[in-house]
Amino acid sequence: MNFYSPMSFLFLLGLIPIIIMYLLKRQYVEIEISSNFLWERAIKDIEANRPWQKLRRNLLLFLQILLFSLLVLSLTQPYIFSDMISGGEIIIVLDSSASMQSKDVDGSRFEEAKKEIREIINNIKPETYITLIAMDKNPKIIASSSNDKSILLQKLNAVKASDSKDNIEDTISLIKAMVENIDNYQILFYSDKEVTNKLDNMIVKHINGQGDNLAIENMSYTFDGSSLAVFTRVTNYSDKEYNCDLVLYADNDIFDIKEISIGKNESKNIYLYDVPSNVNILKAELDIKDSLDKDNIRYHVVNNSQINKALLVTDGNIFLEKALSLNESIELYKSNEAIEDISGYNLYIYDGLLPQTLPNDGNVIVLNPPNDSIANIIDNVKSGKLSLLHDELFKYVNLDFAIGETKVFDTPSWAEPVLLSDDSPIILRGQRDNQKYVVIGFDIHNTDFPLKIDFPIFIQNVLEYTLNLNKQENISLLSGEAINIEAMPKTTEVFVTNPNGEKILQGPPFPLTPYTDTDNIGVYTIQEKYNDKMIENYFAVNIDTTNESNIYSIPNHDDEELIKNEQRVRTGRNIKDFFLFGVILLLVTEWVVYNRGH
Amino acid sequence: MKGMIDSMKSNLVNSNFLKKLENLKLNSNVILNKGYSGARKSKSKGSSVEFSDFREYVPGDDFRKIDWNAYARFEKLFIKLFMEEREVLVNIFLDTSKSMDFGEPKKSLIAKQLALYIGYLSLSNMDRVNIYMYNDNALNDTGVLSGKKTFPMMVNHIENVSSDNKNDFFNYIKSRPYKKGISIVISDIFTKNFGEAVKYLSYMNQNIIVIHTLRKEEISPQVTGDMRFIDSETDEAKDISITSSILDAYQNTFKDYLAEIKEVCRKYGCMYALISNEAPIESIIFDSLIKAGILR
Repeated sequence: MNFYSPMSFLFLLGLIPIIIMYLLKRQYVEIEISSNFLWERAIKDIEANRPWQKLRRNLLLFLQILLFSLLVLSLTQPYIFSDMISGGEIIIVLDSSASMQSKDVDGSRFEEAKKEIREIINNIKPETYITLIAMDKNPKIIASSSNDKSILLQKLNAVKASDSKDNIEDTISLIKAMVENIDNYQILFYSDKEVTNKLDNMIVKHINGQGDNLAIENMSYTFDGSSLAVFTRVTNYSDKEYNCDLVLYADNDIFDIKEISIGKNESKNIYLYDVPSNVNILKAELDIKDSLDKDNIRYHVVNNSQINKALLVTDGNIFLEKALSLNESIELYKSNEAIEDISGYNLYIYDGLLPQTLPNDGNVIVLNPPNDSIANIIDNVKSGKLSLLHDELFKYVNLDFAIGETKVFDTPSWAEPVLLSDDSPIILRGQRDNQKYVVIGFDIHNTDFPLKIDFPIFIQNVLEYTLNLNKQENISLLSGEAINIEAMPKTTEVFVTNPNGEKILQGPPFPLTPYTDTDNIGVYTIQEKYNDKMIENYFAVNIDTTNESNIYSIPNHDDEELIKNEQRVRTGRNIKDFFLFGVILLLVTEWVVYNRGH
Repeated sequence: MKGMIDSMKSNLVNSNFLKKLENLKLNSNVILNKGYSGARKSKSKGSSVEFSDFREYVPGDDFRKIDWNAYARFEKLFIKLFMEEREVLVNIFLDTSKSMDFGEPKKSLIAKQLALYIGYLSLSNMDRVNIYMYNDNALNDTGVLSGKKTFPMMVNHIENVSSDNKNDFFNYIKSRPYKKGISIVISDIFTKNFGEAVKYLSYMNQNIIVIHTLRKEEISPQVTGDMRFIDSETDEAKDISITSSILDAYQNTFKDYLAEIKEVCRKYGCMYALISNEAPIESIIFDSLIKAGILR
């Protein structure tokens, strides 16, 4: 007999108060009476009639101890392995997260788990159904309630270990939903992680060895003059001290090798200087053989800032010009008339002027639009109470400015309001086709906003929103995470090439759906077709080392050994109910004994 | 005499009550042939006011006893024969063991009162009374008392007796011989030696009266729970968890115990009365004891 929840045996401590209470209860009330003559005779009579009478006062205690023990036993959820069970459902979870690739057991943890599952599938009874769930960043049901061995084996073999982290929580809740209407089921959870949230009839089978692991936990860079300074953090998750080389690659060429020595369970920060700033991809690698090699490599994409061309069309706005000139990444051009059919700029800023047709190759900022060509102007009002719909444009910006007169818009379908005056939108932003728009309803001169220190921040926020054109915002991911690919306004096709070299078309259609296929670590290339040019951007996917790198073994469970030793598949049968039934029987017995005794 | 009783300052006796007792007597058919003339009928016909028979006068008879009315009718001399009344020795055995010292009022108080009242009515019936108690591991007695004038002595004697003896009273009864008479045993009879003692008294030609004094808690216990009963005489502790079945067993045991006592009484021709400590002394004497045929 084994237990799903052996910790519940701690409840047995509750027996102590019961016995103590019994001992306390046995404190007799002393009274002096004339004579025990009759009492002795009475007791003797009773004992003569019922030889077990002497035991009776203890009988209640025995019953109570037995009852309590059974109750605790049922709490521990005992189960017996039984191949008697028929028509049962076995749900097998296979952890396919990165840490399962550790090679500290024969093959790898993942292969070992697969081997055991294969054995179970090979031995199932005809009336036993198996559901296979592969768990990485999400639980995936790969076979549902099947008893066809060949299909199950085929599906199992097709499961590949991913580089992403596990998701025990979602898996457990998925199983919980699955077993809700199943009476006779058994859950086998193959993982190398600790599963704290256990379900009924669930056996966690820890697959792990005594592996040692080193990991590059982090990598980043800063501009150090004209070159880059690269920072990496290496953590030793083992009980041994390690000496090894840290190799830094700049665009696939070895740039530097640093010898490092790292003590047990220690983290070290390593800096590498004078890395040329024109590289696109940095890769750090630990030259070491440890149990998990996926986290010995880390990639990082260097985000080369590039100069954007911006056209400011205005009758003259010193505040705006000053605020725009603070951004060093734009090259500002000015015009005092709205020229038609203009192109070639990344950003167009129209202040009080608008051309008949808006340019279609860059993002657009419009201040105080003179006509309805961009958004329907409902009214020209004196400004009222300002209220903000949470927006990144007003990040770190206080609303403590006043506006004299402003235009109020009818929000077009592609835009969303940012700032409201008396619940009417006066600033809009949005994306039409591939162009981003910010529409501001008031003239900067009609407000004291430029006099506030927050004004340049606001302008930078607007620029940040509108200028990330040929720039992937998010360039560093953990395996399994999704990424929003931001295509340029005029991009016609978007491809993503994964580290295995597979090139996949992401768009059209636009807007792009988030890219989720980031299970493999490495550098992914985003290619955008734009005016017959190919523009490349990169993002790096690394292992979630906080979750996956600490492969240090957790204590083995007893039931695992037991199952390993059994060459036949057996399902644990929860016999909690029998104990509960026993508890009820005992309760009745106790009641009868009590009533007869008193 | 009355003044003497009145002057006694006793908690045990009530002088008004004593007066009522003078009309009662022990209902004992003890047949006496010897002894001084008293208030008790003897088998010997003799000088008494109690008429028994007639017989023809023979010379030498006391001519004072000739029935002249009969002579007038039958012209023969007849002599009236009278039952000779003789005094009898009443032995009262008063259990003064520790077990009597329980109850509210204490059994020992009731027992003492009963001993005194029976003693008094015996004295007033011209009987001689000896009250036996035991003290200091020996059976003490008041000595044979006769005549109401000895009553204060009796009271005095009994008042000074304490009920703290831890030995079995009935063992001492057998320690000495008794003259033929009436024996009244007042006890709670928590002993195995009762039968033996009664047998001995019977052997000693005693007409035995058993007044069984018990307290209510002994007749039907009201306790519940886990009890440690300490025997007042032996100091032995007995742990008993009082349950309804134990109480039932007690009741059965008690019934058997009374049956045994009554069986012994029947065997040796004893009169028996069970009295509870809670009954008032008047009702014990005028009700219980008369109903039991002990007094009349």
